[in-house]
Amino acid sequence: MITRRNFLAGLAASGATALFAKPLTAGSGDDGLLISAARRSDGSFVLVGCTENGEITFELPLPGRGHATTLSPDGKTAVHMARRPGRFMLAVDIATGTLREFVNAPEGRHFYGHAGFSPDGKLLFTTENDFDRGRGVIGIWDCRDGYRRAGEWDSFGIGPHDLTLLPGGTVMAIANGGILTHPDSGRAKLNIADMKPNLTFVDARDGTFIRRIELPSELHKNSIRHLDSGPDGSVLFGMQYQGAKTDAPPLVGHVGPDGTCTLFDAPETLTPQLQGYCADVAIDGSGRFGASTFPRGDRIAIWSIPDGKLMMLNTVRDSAGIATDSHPGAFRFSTGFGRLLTRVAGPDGTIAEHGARRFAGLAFDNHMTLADRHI
Amino acid sequence: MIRIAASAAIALSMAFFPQPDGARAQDAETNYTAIAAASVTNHILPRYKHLAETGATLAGDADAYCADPDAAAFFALDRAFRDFWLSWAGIRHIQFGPITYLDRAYRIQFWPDTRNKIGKQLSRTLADADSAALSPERFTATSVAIQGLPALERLLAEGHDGYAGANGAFRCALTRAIARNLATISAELITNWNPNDGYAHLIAEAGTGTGPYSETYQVPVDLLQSLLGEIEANRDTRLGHPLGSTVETARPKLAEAWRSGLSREILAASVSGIEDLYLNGGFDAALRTGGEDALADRIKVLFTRIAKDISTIGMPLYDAFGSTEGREKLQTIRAGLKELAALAGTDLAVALDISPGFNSRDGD
Repeated sequence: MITRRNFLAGLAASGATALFAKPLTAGSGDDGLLISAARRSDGSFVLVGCTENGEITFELPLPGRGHATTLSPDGKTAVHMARRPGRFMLAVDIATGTLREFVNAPEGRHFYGHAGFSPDGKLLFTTENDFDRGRGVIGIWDCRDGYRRAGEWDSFGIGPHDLTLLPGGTVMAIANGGILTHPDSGRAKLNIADMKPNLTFVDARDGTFIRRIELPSELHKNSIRHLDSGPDGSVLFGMQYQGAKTDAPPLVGHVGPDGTCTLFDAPETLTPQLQGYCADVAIDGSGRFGASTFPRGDRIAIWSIPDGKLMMLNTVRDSAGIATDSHPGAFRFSTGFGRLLTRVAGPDGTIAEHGARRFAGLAFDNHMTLADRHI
Repeated sequence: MIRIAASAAIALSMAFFPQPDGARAQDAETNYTAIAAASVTNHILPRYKHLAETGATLAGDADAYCADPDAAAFFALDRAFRDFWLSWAGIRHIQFGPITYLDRAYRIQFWPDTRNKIGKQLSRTLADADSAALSPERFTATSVAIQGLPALERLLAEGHDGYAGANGAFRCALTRAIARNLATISAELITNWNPNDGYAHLIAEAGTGTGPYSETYQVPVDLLQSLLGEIEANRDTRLGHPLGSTVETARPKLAEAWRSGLSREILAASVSGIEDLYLNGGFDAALRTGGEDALADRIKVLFTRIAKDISTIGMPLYDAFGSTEGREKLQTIRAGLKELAALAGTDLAVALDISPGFNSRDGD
């Protein structure tokens, strides 16, 4: 069941925002590595590894625009996916930034841009379009055998964009955005009038359908696009509304470990100014906080989970990517103007800001991933 | 108490954050407002008005033909259909505001149709011959595939004779339903755009109210995206796909409106529409005010060149896709459109500071 909340968003406790000059991890000896697709000022596309201190550790040219990066469970390999309707993915050794594998989508398939590893690291799952049948599929790849195609499952919806494996690795959540596209028509949306997105849970061991969550019919144009899972098995999802610009639908929702679905509807975020567009969502290491980015409305937000209280809504231009690690409450945000920002939600509900960085000449793309570079 | 504390904390956290990209210069603000006003007054409102007029004519001619179906009435209906489509081609690049309400853009022109939804839905509707399904209330809720121009085109493509058979009366009733639907949608667009409390008012209030435009620069960003979107659609979807990579892989039936042979005129109307947006919608003036005459001249000359290239293809687009000579001309047009997209999307956007950002403009 979907519940709509009507109370005003607020913080559980009062408190001023603290501002720290230093990066979150500076001096701790385990400076995190941030990995993101980016566009360089000459128009070329790269996969970038960088630190919060402003150091660029690698820059790998991409054959086209990239989208999301997924880390292997051992933390050594990053798999980066082409942006839809791209057909490449690459596996990168993150310690050195060297390319290990370059893999193309099978005939008749293109990638949507997201992937996830099985908990043992043996398999990689990718969201794909079986475009001639207009059917969403989950591609399965054998990582131990040069990313050999090992099969595919039904995604149980049109346009599976993002997927996430829940802790334990036996359940996979899939965001079926609901929008039909075909490479013959580029990125044109072919079924907006009757689209029907869903959030599907399948058994990650055999692809068996478990259950599906659909939005109320008046929100059928709210494409469920991005996902992140928390340590307790809850899922935060971000939506992109395909209806009128004057509408102000909720853009973030949460599914608890018990299956309760809540749309976060803090009034500050129910505004046409966000232009119906959430670019990314993330859950922190503690599972108590979630973040979302609204680049068309130039806002970033932090929420408390599971109640959906709005903890922070800041004005930041063109921010999309959000990265988290095990650090409780910590979120890194990237922007299309090459900025990197950190916000840390404290247990008392205060939000601390850490030093911002700017990487000149880089426009960070949609998603960012945080790895421990010293593994 | 909790609520008060909450808003205080949020306000504090925003105060601590440095202003995004610094304050925008006053002359930039003036440009934004001028472009918004000129685009609405000189471009959007007159063109939607024209669309509503051609829509009313189309509905009237469909009524007249079905009441007294002769060849002359069919000719008038067919002409009205063409006029409406050309009128639509000159304003369909506006992809924000009331056109996005109630699936209007899709209902006017569901295209491209890679899964032949139009053909399937049309066959089913004609076979069912259920007159009750053509009432305005039910028809506006039926599949978008048969509500607009491509379905009407198929009905008209069989000519006056196509309405002669046993099913002719229902076929005419469906034709009337589509024509009336198009007239209604285009009339609603004018109503919803009205400057008193409609979308034109929301644009005039940009940067002050609580509408969709919290900052003035967002209006020119919407307009520029509309312009760029139409250039890209012409280049890739409407020309690129039917062209294929070689003359052997050309697929002229992927062209827009190939059945009515209207493809080339539509392309010309589309380019003319975005040229009008650029020239009379305040972009050209803003560039010249800012001393960017050279850039403004380049864009203007390029528009003229592309229009001339389109007018001198010398054969129907359908034939051009499959002919070596025609393909060369189409590739020249595509190259011109690409150059135009670069000038408008990069040089103009930078000069007028209306870059909407990487992720906000083209995120996924």
